[in-house]
Amino acid sequence: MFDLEKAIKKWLKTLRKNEALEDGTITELESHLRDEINHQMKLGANEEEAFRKASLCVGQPESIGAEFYKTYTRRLSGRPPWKPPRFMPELLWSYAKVALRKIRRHKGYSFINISGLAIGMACCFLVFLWVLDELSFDRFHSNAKEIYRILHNPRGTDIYNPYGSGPLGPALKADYPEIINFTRSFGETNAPLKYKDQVFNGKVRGVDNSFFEIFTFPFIKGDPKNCLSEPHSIVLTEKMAAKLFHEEDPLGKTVGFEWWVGWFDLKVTGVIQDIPSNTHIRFDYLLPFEFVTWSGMTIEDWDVVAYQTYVLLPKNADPSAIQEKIAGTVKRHFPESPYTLHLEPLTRIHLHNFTGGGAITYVYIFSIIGALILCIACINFMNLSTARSMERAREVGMRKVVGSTRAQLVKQFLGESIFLSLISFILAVILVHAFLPSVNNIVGKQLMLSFSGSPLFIFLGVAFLTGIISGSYPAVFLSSFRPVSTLKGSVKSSSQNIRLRKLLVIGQFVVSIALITGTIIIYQQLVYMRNTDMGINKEHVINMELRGDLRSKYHTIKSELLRNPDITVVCATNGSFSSRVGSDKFGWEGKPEDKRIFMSIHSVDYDYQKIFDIKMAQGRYFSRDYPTDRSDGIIVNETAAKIMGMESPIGQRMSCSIPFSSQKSGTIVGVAKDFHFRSLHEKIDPLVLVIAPGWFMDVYIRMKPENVPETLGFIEKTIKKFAPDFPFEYSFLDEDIDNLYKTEQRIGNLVRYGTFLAIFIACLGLFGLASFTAEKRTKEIGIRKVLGASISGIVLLLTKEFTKWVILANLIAWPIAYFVMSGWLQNFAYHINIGIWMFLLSAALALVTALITTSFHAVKTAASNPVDSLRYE
Amino acid sequence: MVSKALIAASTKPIILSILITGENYGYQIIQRVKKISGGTLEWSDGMLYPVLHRLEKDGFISSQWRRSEEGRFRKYYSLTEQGREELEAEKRQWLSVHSALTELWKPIEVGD
Repeated sequence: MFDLEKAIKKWLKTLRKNEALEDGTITELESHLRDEINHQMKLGANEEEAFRKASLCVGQPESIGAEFYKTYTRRLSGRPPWKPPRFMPELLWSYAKVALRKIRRHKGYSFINISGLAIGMACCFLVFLWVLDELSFDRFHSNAKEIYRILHNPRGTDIYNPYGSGPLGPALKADYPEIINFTRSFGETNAPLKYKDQVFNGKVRGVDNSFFEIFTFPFIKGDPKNCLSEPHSIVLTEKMAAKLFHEEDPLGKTVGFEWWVGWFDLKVTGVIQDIPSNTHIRFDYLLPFEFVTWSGMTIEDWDVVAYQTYVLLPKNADPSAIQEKIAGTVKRHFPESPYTLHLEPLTRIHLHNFTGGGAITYVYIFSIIGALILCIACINFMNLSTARSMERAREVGMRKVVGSTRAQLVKQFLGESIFLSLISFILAVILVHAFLPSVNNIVGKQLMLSFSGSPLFIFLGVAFLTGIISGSYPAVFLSSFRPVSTLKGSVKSSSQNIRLRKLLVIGQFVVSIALITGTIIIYQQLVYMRNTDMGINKEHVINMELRGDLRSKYHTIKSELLRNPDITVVCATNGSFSSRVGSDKFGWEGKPEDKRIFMSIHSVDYDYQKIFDIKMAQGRYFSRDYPTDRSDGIIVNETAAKIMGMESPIGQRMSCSIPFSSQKSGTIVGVAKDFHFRSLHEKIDPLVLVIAPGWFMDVYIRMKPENVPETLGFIEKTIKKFAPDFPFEYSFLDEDIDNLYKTEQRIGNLVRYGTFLAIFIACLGLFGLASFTAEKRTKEIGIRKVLGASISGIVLLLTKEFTKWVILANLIAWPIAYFVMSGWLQNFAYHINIGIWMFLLSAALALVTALITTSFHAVKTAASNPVDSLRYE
Repeated sequence: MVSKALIAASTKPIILSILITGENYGYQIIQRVKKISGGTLEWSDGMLYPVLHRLEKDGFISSQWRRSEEGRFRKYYSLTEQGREELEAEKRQWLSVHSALTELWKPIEVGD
C-alpha cells in the first residue's frame, strides 16, 4: 500500500542528507512538493503517481544542493565555503596537531629521522650544484652550440689530440664555406708583464682577432673588433689590469712583455671582464696569435703541430656531415701528415678530456653517490616509521572506528612524512649554506646557493618527492591495520615486513661497505702514486723558469749559485711534467718508410742526471770528457730503443730536428732505464735526450735540507743580480709532482666524506632500529636475566641478528666494489693491485661500527633491572 | 525550447517583475511563470529556490514565514526598494536588446 506520508518522509530524509540544504529550505521544498501533489491529484492522478510526478518536478537534491553552494561561495569550483579545497584532507588541523604531538613525544626518533633526511638531502643538493657547474662549462658563450675544436687523429691510432699546425685554420675557412670563422690559440703559458716598475707573471694566450667574434668575453674597455689586429697589441683581464695599473686607465698605455728572447713593447687595446671559472679557456691576458713567431716558432709550417684551432659552424649545421668533408684537409695540403680531422663540440671539451677520463666520469660517479646517500636516508625513514608502527596501531584503530576511510589515513600519514621532509629540507638548506665554503675549498670551485632560480625549486621538488616516497610504504602499511586487532592489542609484525626491513638495512650497508672499499682503494692508489719511485730524487729541489737574461747568463748564474755550499746541484732542461714536447721527425737506420713516431725530446745539461737520477741500461750519460756529446750526442730511453727496433743502439746514428738548436743528427751514446717524466696516468713515452742550451727553459736547484730559507734568500739575491726585471717565482719539485694528482686527491677527499656520511646515516638507521628491537624484547631480557643470563650473553644475543645482516651485506658489496674500482684504476697506466685485505678491512670497519651502534642499546637494556622490565605491562 | 542561457538570464527580471505585484511564495511564482509563458519557459521547480536565496542575499527581495490555514508553513517573498531599482535597471537593459532585435526583424521591404 502506498503511504503518501511515509514516502514524503523518506524523500525529506534524502534531502536532509545533503549538506547544502538548510532546514528552512527543506521546509520550503516540502511545501512545494505538497502543493504539486495536490495539483496533480486534482488533475486526476492517484497518490503514488502524483508523488512521483511531483518529486520529478522538484528535481534531484544534489543538483539543488549544488546550486545552493554556488550562492554561498565565490569559488569557481562551486564547493561550499566551509569545506577545505579538495586536495586538503578534511581533518587538516587535527592531523597537524597529531603530527606535532608525535614529534614532541618521541624527540629521539624524530631527531634521527629529520637529521638523517636532512643530511641525505644536503648531500644530494651539494652534488647537484657541483654537477650543474661541471655541465655548465663553456655554455655561457652565445655561440656555444656552434663552436667546435679541431682534433687530430693519427692514422692507425685511437688518439685524438687538439694540437695542430698554424695554416690549418685559414685553410679550413678558405676551403669550406660551411666554416664561418676560425681562431687559433696558443697557450696558456706563463710570461711576465711590466708596467713602470712593476713586473707580474701572468698566463698568456695568443689568439686571432676572430677569437672575440667566436667566444663571448665581454669587454670593459676597448673595441673587440680590432683589438688584436695590430701585431704589438695586448688585451688584459680585469684582474691583470688592476694589478699593473691600479686606478689608472690602461687603454693606450704601453706594457713590456718578455718572451724568451727579450722584452717587447705592447699597446693595451682592451680590457675584458674577469673570466668565469667554468670555462676551459683560461688566460690573464691575450696577445695576437703571431706573437709566437717572436721567439722563433713558425706558424706557416704544416709540419709544426703546437696550436689549437677552433671553428664556428652555422646554426643548425650537421657536424658529422661537415666533419666528413674536412677530415682530409691536412693531408690535402701536406701529404706526409698522418692526421685525420675530427670536430669536438665546445661544450664537451671540459667533460671529455681528449686524453680520456675527463670530468664526465666524475660527474657520473658523484651523481650516483649523491643519489645513493639520499636513498639510504629515505630507507632509514621508511624503516623507522614502519618499525614504530605498533605504537600508532591503536590510533589507526580508533580513527577507523569513528569513520575514517583508508584514503584519509593514507593522506594523514603521507602528510606527516611530507611535513617532516619539509622540516628536513629547511635544515638541509641551512647545512648546505654552512658547508658550501669548505666544499668549495675541496673541489676548487665557486658554487653558490641562490635563493632564486631553478636549483632551489628543484630541491624543493626533491624534498617533496622524498617525503612522498619515504612516506608511501609506511602510509600504506599503517593504514591497513584492522581496528579490532589493534584495539585488542594483538597486532604483530608480519614476517613479511620484517623481511623487508632486513632487506632495507642490508641495502644500506651494501652501499656503505662499497663506499668504504672504494675509499680504501683510492687512498692506496694515491699513496702509491706519491711514493712510487719515479726515478727522481725530488727532495728539496726547486724549479724556476729561465727567461731572457737568466737564460743567456745561465752559466754565470750557475757557477755563482754553486759557490754556496748549501746548493748541491743546478741543472737546466726544457721539460716539465705536464708539457708534451717532442717531435715525430726522427730518422734512424732501419726505419720503415712511412712510420712517424712521436717521441718526447728533453734538452738537458751534464748535471741533469744528478737530479733526475737517471740510471743507464747501456752506454753512458753525457759527460764533459767527451766533447762531441755537446753537438752530436743522443741518449734514448728503453722505450724509445724498443720502438725503433734497435737491439744495440750504442753507436747508431739518428737524424732529428731539434728546436732552438742546429743539431740535425747525432750518435747514440747511451740508453737510459725508463723513468717517469710524466704523471703515472700515462705510460712512459719514448724519450730522446740531447744537449741543446738554446732550448733551456727551466732550471732545477737542489738545496741541502738545512737552512732552506737562507738558501732561498741567497738564490733570490743572485737571480735578482743578473735579472732584476723578473719576479722571483719558483716552486718545489715535490709539490709539482703532487699537483699532478690534484684531481685524484680531491676525488679521494670527496669520496671519503661521502663514505662517512653514508655510514653515519646507515648507523643512524641501525641505531633507531636497534633501540626499537631492544624495547620490544624488554620482557624477554628481564626473564633471561632472572634465569641467570650474563650481561655479555644478552648483548651477544641482541647484536647477533644485526651482525648477520652486516656480513651478508659485505658479501654483496664486495663484487660490486671490485668491479667499479678496477674500472677506475684503468685510468692509470700504473696502478696498484686490489688486494683481499682491502675488502676484509672494510668488512671489519663496517662490523665494528654496526656493533658499536647496536650494542649501545643492548647494553642499556641488558644492564637494566629485571624487576622494572617485568613490571612493564 | 528556450536555451539554458536565456532562461538563466531571464530568471531574475521575471521573478522581480512577478513580485512587484505583491508578495508570493515559491510554488505560486512557478505556476505564474508557466501560465504567462504558455509553457515555453520550463523551469525546473527545485532550481527556483537557490535563485530566490541568491536574490535575498543580494538584498533585492525579503522573505517572511507565514502559516496557512491548513497549518502549512510557507515562505513569502516581497520586493524591496533596492529590488525595485534593480528591476528598473533590468527593464532598461532588456528593452534596449528587444528594440534592437525588433528593428532587425522588421519585415524586409520588397522594392521593385
